[in-house]
Amino acid sequence: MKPAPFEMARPRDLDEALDLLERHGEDARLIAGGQSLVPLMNLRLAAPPLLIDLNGVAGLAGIRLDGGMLRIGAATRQQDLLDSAIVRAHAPLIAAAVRHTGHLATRCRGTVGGSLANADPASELVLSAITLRAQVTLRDKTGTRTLRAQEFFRDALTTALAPTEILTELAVPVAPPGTRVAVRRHARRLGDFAIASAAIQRAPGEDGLRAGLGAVAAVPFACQRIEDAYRARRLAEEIDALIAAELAAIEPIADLRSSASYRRRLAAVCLADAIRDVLA
Amino acid sequence: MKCRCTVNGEQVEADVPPRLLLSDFIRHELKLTGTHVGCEIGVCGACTVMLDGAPVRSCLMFAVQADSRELRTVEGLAQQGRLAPLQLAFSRHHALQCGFCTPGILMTLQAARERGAWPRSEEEARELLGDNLCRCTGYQGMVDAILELAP
Repeated sequence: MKPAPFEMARPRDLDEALDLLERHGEDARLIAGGQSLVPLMNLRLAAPPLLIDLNGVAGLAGIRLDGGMLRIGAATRQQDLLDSAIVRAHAPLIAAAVRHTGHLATRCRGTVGGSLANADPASELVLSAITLRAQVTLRDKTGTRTLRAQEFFRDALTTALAPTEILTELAVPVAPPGTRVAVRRHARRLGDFAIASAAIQRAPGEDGLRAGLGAVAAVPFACQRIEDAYRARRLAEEIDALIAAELAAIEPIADLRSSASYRRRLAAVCLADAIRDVLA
Repeated sequence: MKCRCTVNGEQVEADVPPRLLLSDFIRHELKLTGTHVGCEIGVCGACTVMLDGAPVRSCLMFAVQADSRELRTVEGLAQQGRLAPLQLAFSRHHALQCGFCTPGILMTLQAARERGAWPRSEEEARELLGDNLCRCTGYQGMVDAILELAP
């Protein structure tokens, strides 16, 4: 099927893109990789009158270290994360998670900002951002604001991004040397959306564990009970009870891919495997 | 809108509506019908082409987004009438049956070759082939072709 007719604007810089966004309001949609938006347009589930193509906007892509943070421009392609020695060294959880996102061809086009702004419950980037307590930078014509990932993601496919804002950057705390990570997920097919996915990072120090669960609830979430138990040095003995408590606190998604009860079961297995992997 | 790009080494220029998918531009305007269109929602990979050396689903891009970029399609693989090593390996291993998915698979693999991401094991070969759907072969001939070409 073919998309409905639309106009396309191709701004050269962020100010021009923000001007367009303000002028056209809800009629405009931003497009970067298009790996989620264009299927919807081809199916005519989305028919935005104006597309603002961010691919020509200067300075929106790139990966750089900035003190204790790794800063990733919104237009950075997902595959660029996997090909980046900086990401592998300083944000190994992102590298381990994003290799499961789609396929080479979709990662070569799909962007970091697009995945975050789309906020799919099964997104590996959303899971990584939540697990690592990352921050996102949003810009509009009046200025910049920075939100914690936990504040940014509101619901399935819903974020705090205002219609006049553009997500410009993801900032992730740098993982110290000696950090171990594990990502365990289950999908029906290679590269398909996960039914459940668990991400764990274990950095040196008693406060070093980060645990997150994706694809199960409407928004991926940090497993606070598991992190607290690690700090109190009782995680290894209580893994199964802690996982049961985490999963009892949520209402798993039920959809075509999985019932709620199957999701709950898979999530428990993925979490337990990932935790045992980093504790071993 | 204007779309000026290089396709298989040749400059092309066209005036196209923004809604024109890159896959349709390649097939209907440029008449390069080797690029096939399967699902048009980015799942099957039949329409995969190379954009500045990266494999992309041409059904998930608009032709105008290829402006000032370099495109390669399956027609660009053979040089002076001689099949590329990848195509020869596919032929030797009977890595296709109906052939509908083959152009997309060849372009995914060619891009992986040129990016230095060539599979070194059967597991990696199958992971890369996960990019593209084939309903005939069961992929075994393709895995064999990939492993034969492994560096």
